Amino acid sequence: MQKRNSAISISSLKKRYNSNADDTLKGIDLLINQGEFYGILGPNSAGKTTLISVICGLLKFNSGQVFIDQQDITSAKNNSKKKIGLIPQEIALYPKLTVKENVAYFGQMHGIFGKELKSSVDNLLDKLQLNKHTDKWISRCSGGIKRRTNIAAGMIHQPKILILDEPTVGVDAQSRNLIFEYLKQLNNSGTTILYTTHYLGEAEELCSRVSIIDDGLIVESGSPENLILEHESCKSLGDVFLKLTGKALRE
Amino acid sequence: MRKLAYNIRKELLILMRDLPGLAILFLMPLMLIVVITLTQENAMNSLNGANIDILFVDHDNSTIGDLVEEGLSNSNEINLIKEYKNQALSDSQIRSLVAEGKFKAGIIISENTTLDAEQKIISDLRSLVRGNENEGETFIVPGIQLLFDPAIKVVLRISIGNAVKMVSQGAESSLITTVLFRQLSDVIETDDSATLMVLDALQDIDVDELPQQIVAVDESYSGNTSEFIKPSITQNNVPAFSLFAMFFIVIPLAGSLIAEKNEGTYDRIRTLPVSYFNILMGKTVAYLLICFMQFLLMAFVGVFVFPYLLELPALEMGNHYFAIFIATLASALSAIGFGLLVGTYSSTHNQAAMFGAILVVIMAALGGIFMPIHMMPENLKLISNLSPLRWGIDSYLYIFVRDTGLAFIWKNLLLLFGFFIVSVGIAAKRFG
Repeated sequence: MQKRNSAISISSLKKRYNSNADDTLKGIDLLINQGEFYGILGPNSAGKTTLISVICGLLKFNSGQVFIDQQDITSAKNNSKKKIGLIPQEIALYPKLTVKENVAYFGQMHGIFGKELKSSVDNLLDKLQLNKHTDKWISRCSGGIKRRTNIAAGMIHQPKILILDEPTVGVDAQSRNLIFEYLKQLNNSGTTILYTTHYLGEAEELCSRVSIIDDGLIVESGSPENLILEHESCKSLGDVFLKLTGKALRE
Repeated sequence: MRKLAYNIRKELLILMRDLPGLAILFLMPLMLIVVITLTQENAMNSLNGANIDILFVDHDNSTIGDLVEEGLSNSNEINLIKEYKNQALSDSQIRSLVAEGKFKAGIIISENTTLDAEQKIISDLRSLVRGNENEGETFIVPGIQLLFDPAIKVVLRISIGNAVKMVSQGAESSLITTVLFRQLSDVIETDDSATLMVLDALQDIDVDELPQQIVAVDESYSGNTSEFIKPSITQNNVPAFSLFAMFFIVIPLAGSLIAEKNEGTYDRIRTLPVSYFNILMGKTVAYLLICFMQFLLMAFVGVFVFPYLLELPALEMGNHYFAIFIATLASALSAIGFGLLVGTYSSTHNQAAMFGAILVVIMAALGGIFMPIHMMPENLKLISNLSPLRWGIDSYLYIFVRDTGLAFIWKNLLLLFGFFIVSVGIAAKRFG
């Protein structure tokens, strides 16, 4: 399944939680090429977060294979960690550290120190327009600043693969626009981006390809344009999504 | 190592910016130690001026018994009780009444104490006159037994002990004079040449060589208590409240673990190329520094604030500073281990704060922080051996009061270090 230029390659991935009778992931096959902006879409409880957690090494899986940058994550766990940057849905920052201290801390944990760290932090804070807020405690920042700092903390080590789990929840239009512009720039410079969101318009705008996941299986993959074309009567990715996953409410 | 250093820095920054947390860690024990020590001292001082009933049995019925009784009866603070329920007291009755705490102290003057003391004085005088120094030094008449309620306040016990010793020494001096003159008059009446010899010999006697103590005042706790540790209030309260404060790091420490779990930083950390053990060690070292600062603050209060500002006894720490350092290290690590355990098994900050604080108070009560161990019922004494605070306070008391080193406290230290290692192991396994 893995190709020479694959960033993430997953085959027959199954994951079952101890407390569950059924598999949460029921045999996922996924190939994301280097430099792609890839969207994972799915309703609640479809298995998106479980899939991301497995890719990031947070969860062990029951069967299948996962390759990050052509390396099996079970045998090269630490190496994979250096290549991945996770930007979780939660504001995973220390509330009593400043914006700058938070970003620097995650850099230090990636083994970046001294001048290199200072230059990376300053550059990142500048690009995400956080330089006016560097000395504010996170607990005293607005939602938009927190979101942008959350992104900066996951990017400080310049990962080859950036995984974003609903990065725009609760931010205003201006911050969302800034984040989109930054992510596009990053992708244009070669960073592979794996993006999950409930805002299907975002996926349509940003992603070169998407996979729709439901009940632990990928039900459809392709570029947003092709998916819309393939499904007659669908005018948007949102229509395709509802057609494939149904209109019934999920947990 | 650099990652560890930055983990320590991060933890310290977070701690320093948590003012309510710092107040719990430093101000709370500071206020407790001052208020409780002042209250205890006042309680003790208030007894000093009162009439203290002391049981008294005199089997001697001679000079020493009479003089001790007279001397203590003249004291404004001591009221000698010779009968209980209209019956003369027996030795066993005194022991049980004192052991039960119905009376704070009891005095038993043994039979023939005066007679034995006279023989001792004569023996000492003869050996001095003959120049045989060793003969008189070998024994002290075991005449006066002074029994204390095991729960007696330290200051009161010292006061009673000193009063009895003072009166006893006065009786001894009086007896020495009486015996000396009796011996001299016997000799002088029978032989003039002997008189001259005695006077010559007396000129050669060095006053300092006269026996310092003739009748022993044997102090002990009544009942089955084998421990005879005599800490001052300060010696007890400084380590007690240092330990109490150290264990209260459970609130910020467990809170930081829970915050990381709930706010997502824990998951983010796990995606970083750093072991969770490194993260835990960062927390350990940061909180270790806090614990040492807590101990130093308490020691500062004990050494300087108590005697100079509050007229309380100064902290006497003995001479084994390295042992104090190791005991503090072991106690602090144990407290950190406890915080990690609570943080590991709690799911919310409130749960950890409530659960942790209640457990600390229970462990402190069991560990003898609020009440001396010897006052506890036997079953509770056994359970108290399970409290890390007990292991800690026992270690400090050995060092402060008995002035002993690591050789005497290694078992407690092993328990404290062991508790830490097991706790870190559980936390690392659960989170790592």
